[in-house]
Amino acid sequence: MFKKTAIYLLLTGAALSFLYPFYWMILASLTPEAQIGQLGVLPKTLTFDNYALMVSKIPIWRSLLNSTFVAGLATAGVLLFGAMTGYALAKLRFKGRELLFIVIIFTMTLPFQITLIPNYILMVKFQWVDTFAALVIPALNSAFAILLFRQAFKSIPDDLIHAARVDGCGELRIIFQILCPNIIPTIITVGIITFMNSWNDVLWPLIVIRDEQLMTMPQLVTLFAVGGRAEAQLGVKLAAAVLLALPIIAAYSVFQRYFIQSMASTGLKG
Amino acid sequence: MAVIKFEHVTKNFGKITAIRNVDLEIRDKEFMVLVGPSGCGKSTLLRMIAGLEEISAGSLYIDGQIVNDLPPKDRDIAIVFQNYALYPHMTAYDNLAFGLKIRGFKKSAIKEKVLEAARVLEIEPLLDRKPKAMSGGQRQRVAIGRAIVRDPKVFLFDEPLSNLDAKLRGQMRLEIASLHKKLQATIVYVTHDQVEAMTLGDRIAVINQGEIQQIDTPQNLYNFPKNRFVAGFIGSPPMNFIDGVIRRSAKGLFFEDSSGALYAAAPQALEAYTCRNIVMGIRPEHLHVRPEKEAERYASFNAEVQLVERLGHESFAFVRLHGTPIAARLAPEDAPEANTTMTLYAAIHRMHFFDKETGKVIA
Repeated sequence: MFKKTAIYLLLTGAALSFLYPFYWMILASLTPEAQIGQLGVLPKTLTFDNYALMVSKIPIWRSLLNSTFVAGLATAGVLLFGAMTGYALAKLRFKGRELLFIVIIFTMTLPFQITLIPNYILMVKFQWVDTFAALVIPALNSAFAILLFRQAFKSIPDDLIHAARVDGCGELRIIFQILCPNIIPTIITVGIITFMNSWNDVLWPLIVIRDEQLMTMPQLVTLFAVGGRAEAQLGVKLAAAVLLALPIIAAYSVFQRYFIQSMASTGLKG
Repeated sequence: MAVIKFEHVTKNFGKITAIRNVDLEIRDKEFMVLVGPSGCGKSTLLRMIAGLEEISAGSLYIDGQIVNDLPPKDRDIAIVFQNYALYPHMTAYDNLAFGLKIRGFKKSAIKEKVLEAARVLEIEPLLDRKPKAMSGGQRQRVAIGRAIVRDPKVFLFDEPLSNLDAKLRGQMRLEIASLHKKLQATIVYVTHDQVEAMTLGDRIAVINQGEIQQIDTPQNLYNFPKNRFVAGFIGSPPMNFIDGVIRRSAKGLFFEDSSGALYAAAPQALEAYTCRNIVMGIRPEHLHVRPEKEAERYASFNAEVQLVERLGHESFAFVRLHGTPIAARLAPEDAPEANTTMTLYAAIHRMHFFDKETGKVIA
């Protein structure tokens, strides 16, 4: 009993240490600028002034829309093409399959910074700089998603696919109507991680987007916070940060059950 | 319904040849069983008929039409898998209806066909259940239902009973046999279980290492095996094999086992094998503790009893003839005690003789 209580206390302490920064961020964003310095655990005065100021200074709603559009399309693309690639690597027999898979996995080991310049040159050549194409098209598939889908499909017996083929299914129907309904946790995991990565990405948008109307939310908020337009007002910066974090927190809260299930089944660490 | 014909069919997986130059014709409405040990290529043959494995060389015909490059959905076949392969996210009804939906059947027609198949297989109460809420036997019924609902030209069964317990297996075997009578369809059935093969098949093709060893009726396979592999594969316990030599005496040819403890008159057909090593085969049921019929000739020998299995209605005595293991199927009252010596009488006209090198039957 004592051991159990001690473990729970320890876990509660750990959970609080993770939650407190978020709590403080939300609380500070709702506190008048002058009082943020003396902020305790409980709020004294609550105000939405920081939010109002932030909205008046930057096109935050437009960037929210942009981010949703970009992250949504990237997630849909990764789910679609990642599933198709993963299926091919797991279940179709062709020459060089394993080599192709190794090459794909190898790309995961390359830091993003290494491919940054070549990718940018490509975007310039395609004349995609300052368009959504630069944000969406390179993000339509990912090695990580391919790996997860491949592993999930590998765990499904071949005979299920054979049965579907005899029933008259083509490859696309096999992937999306027969196999995908049986790997929901993987789909949700890939979906959340892709959405999160795309939503939080700052560096790539900073390089390929200059038009404020096309900027994603993290890009805009970063430029706002460190670019001087927030005029060193902490409350306004934090208000922008809260708006930035909310969609991810909401998505994670809804899907966390599947997320944990998939992490456990794939043996993958977050 | 359908005639299936393999013509010089070969299948390679990289450098490994799984099927070697197979010629096989499966007649219309025939129940053909493909039997052989694990890895012999029987499932590969079945999957070739289904179109799930490509053919490396040769031709496969269904009803006179070459189907080598025809996709599975256009072959008008249905297949029942060993692990059922039901769609886990669909109910039994949807599993049965899925193939019909894809083929564009109307909803009312689908319902009629699914309910009819469910009635035949007595799975009506299961139609709303998903596979994980069913037992192995129920799943297998649904899998069979999925096959019959489409009314295909050919039914393929890939070891459908091997995941079931012995009692259920016996019951399902009877049901598949009666289904064949009812449907009057061409059925190709793969199994490694010789009881299933013997009881279900109109004809049986025995396969080993990618080659067909013999195709015949169950009784002919048992009585007239063409080679040592078939003789050893069909029958349980398997046929006993005793190494020896053909010798000539004043009375004619005779077989002498390598220990010199067993002598048996040999047929004149073995003339060419005089003084050559051969293998004699005799089934456990053709060894007796005394001569059974006066008119028949027997070769007697003494053997050490190692182990006795008493099954109630019969007994198996496992004995050794100078190191060669031999099994005898005996009446319960004839069962000897272990670690004793007994005399066995081998029915001479039941003996099979095989070439030692090629394994082919020579008399």
